Amino acid sequence: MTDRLDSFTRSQWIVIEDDAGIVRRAPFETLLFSIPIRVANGPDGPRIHRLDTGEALPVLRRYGYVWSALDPAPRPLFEVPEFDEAGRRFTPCGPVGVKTSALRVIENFLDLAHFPFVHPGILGTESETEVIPYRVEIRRDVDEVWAVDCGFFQPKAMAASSAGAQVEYRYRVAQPCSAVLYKTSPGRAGAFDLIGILVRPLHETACEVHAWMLMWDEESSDESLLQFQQEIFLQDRIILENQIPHLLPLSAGMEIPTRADATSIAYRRWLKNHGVIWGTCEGIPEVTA
Amino acid sequence: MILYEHVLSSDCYKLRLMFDLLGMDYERRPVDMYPGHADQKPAFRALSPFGRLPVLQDGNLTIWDAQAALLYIAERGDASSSWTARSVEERANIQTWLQVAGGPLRAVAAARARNLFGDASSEDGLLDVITIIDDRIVEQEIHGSEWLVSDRPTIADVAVFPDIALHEDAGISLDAYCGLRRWLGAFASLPGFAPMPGVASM
Amino acid sequence: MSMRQTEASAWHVVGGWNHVQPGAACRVELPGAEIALWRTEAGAVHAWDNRCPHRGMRLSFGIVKGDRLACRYHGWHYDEGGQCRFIPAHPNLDPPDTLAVAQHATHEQDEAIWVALGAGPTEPPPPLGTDQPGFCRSIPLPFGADTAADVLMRLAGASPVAPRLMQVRPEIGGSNRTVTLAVQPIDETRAAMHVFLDGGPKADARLAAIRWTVGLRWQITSETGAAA
Repeated sequence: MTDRLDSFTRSQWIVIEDDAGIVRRAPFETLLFSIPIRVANGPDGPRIHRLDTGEALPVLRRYGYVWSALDPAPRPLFEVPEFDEAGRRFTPCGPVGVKTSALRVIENFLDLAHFPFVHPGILGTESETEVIPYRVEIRRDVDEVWAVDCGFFQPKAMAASSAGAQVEYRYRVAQPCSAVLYKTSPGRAGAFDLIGILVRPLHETACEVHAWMLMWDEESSDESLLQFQQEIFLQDRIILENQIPHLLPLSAGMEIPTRADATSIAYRRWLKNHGVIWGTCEGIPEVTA
Repeated sequence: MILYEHVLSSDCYKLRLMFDLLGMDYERRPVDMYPGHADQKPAFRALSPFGRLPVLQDGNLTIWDAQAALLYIAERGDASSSWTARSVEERANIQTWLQVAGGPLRAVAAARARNLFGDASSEDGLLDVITIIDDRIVEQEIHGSEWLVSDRPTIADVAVFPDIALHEDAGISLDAYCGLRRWLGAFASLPGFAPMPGVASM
Repeated sequence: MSMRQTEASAWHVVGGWNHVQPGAACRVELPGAEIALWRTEAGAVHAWDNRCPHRGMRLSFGIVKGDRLACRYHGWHYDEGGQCRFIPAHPNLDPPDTLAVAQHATHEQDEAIWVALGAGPTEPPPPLGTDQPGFCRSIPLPFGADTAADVLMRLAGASPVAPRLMQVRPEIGGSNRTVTLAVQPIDETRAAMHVFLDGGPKADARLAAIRWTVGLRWQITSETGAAA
């Protein structure tokens, strides 16, 4: 299967586990692009090896996570300067397995139009379903997909929200398998809270999803923050596992978007322009699963 | 009453459902079962010796078994005794399905935990328990009932519902089990019913 | 004619009348096809490709609203002809005619739901018995349809009467009655069996036939070593 691993995807840092998970679980075996790897923890920090060749893989510790790559010289990891802002609260939500392509997971994360139907009473309501036009741009300097000026009415936008509110969103695809959203903070006027997902492909149609939050919120308990985000992601998960094919179609024609899908359209085009094959329908003549 | 719980646990959903169906107020105390595994820590084991969620507290009483807590909520909150046994025969039948919920049906919850959180699990008897509950519903339908016991929803249905309703998370298809699909649909139509994440359309 | 063409042009029993209830949707598999089977609230049955044209969501997860099926993911509405009629993200947009779901032929007869891929055969499906056949039970089979026929001949003593249809006269409630077994092919390792009983709607006989079916299922499980 790794003959479908394109160079762009192969050169990305991929999330392995959050820092607490490394301490709790290591040593453990898992998969990275269908290749079995072993993750150990030692006095010098985590060490990761391929189990098939024995080769040591590069290791990076950043943003509360341990990252690795099959490529010995991965591209630089994306920047999230908000991690350096004093007073923000970081909450990693723990990995959740999903049987679909990592790219389907990212695309769903970028989607506004499903809020009223998949997250009713939390991120949307069936009385306000319209997606107001927003702007999508490819930021050439960092080679990222951004969607800005996104707005949506949300009954309970965050764990700390006390009432429904019109919420401003910005979406950012930082890597094929990593995305960040910035949304109006209920805890600090004029500021944005960050929610991110980092996806590790186990196989082309199975992955492990790590969600994290970086927020201005001194009120909520850890437990309620975690469960707020976990509830939302589990509502998405049943959708994700039932989108067929599990591989993401990049070519026009197989799926029909509307203007509300502008971010998804740009994301698919960006993947195609980078020659991404892994996790897509590219190169598969007749996809059925 | 105070419910120590986690939003993704099917056993906790069972008790939330019972409170909702009876229109009762209760206090939710979230426990960091995942990723923190707080349910396995000594502080929680003081409440629940097997380290299992949910735990129900009412005054000085602490109940750490989901089926026992379900029965307690129904007996406290249901003045008409509609959800619990009205005869010796009903009690025997209800008890049977409570035992299924706390026994063989745990295989479904284990398969779900494996898919979601990577927990180890064995699938022994997984389809047997699905099949046996489906058989029961189909027989009950011939007798003119939509429910596991007698002719009305009881705590037997509440005890079994969550793990069956979360079949998709567990990787189990109900395509062939139309009795279960009809029963899930009837249950979801009950006044006060609320879904949880992972409960499929019905 | 290849096996696949034969299956594609044929009627298949996919369940009893209550396999899908008014206002409900479920998933049905036939060789090479996954189908969303659903009934309007008024009871009309439809078999569609199980995929929303928008983002591929299985329509079997959809929600029936009157005579329309709404996709679970983004709430797009499809009418009984499979035509998209409403896109909630753009409430004022009139969806183009090209936004439609492919449909398959359906037929209801003898308390059975039949599906044929595409437009289906011109002739109706054969009867499922000779004396007021009624639906009893469906069970999944852990092997392909050809093996299923062999197993049902050997374990139940059933004889083929038409393609994918077999009959047997077991003792049901004190007398021998005609039972028709309709085998639904799925793939090389899975099939389903739908059981129909002659003799009209008598609850006692039906219950006995359901128990006979359950007994046959446990026999298949134990003798083939397969999971139920």
